[in-house]
Amino acid sequence: MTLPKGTMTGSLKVLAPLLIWMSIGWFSYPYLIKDIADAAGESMNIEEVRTFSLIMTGVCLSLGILFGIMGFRGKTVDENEFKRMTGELVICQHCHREAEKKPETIKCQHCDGYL
Amino acid sequence: MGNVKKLPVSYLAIAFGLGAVAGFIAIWGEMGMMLNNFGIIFLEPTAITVFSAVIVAPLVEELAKPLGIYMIQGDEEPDLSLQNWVVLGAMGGLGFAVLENILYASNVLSFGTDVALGLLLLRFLLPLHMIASAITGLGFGLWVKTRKGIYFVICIFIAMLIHGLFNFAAIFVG
Ligand SMILES: [Zn+2]
Repeated sequence: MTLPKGTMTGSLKVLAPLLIWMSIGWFSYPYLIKDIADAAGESMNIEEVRTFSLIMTGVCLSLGILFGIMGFRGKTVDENEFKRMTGELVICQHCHREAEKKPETIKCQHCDGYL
Repeated sequence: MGNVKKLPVSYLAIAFGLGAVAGFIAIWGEMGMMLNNFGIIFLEPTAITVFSAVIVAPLVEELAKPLGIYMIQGDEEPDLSLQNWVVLGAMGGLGFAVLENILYASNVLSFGTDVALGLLLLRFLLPLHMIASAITGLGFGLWVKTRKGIYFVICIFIAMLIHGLFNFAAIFVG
């Protein structure tokens, strides 16, 4: 089953700010981790950490902005669409199993009897 | 529209609270598996720590964080929007993270308050648990709406993958 267009917009609106929050975290990561490592007497390759953090900052920020644009500017699906797609769950009179009844399919998916 | 549905505060509280309970249990289990001290940062990359942090922890934690979501659907079968499910997922992740961050920070108090507070700040600035569980929440919502469990399987797999890669990087970078 393919999802209707605009299914993800509402969710992207939640993910976008989380990703931007995460990008701030990655940006500050090398500074914070350096302080922690120094205070705890641990050694680390800070150059490698800096490079990785910068890449992750870029990835999270780009995704956050992209999701934000898609989420806030895109068309939002009418979620009643899902109900039309899945139909109504009914108990089949013939085989007594749960079957999906839709306007276009009125036969039981299990026994082919009329619902 | 039919999408903008009010999310009851009680649902947010259940998602957060049970996420925290899951966090509490998971952390004690993981501390037993040597994921202690800095919570994966500065771990020695031995086979057992890598396996625990990269495979076991994401698998268990991503399944456990949406405990509240499972309960809300099981008990009430509410008519929520997809976005509502995503928010509930994120709340479960937040509850989990709050517990985990506090436990990890308190565990390094012996290195000084600076280290503990620094670790707390660093972990709060990386909302990995919220992002991963928000994706799981989306999958759960799609499952409820379409009656196709495959959406949940795909989404929780993505959440586990992100989580595993994150832990992998935390061990091997630097
Ligand atoms: Zn039948």
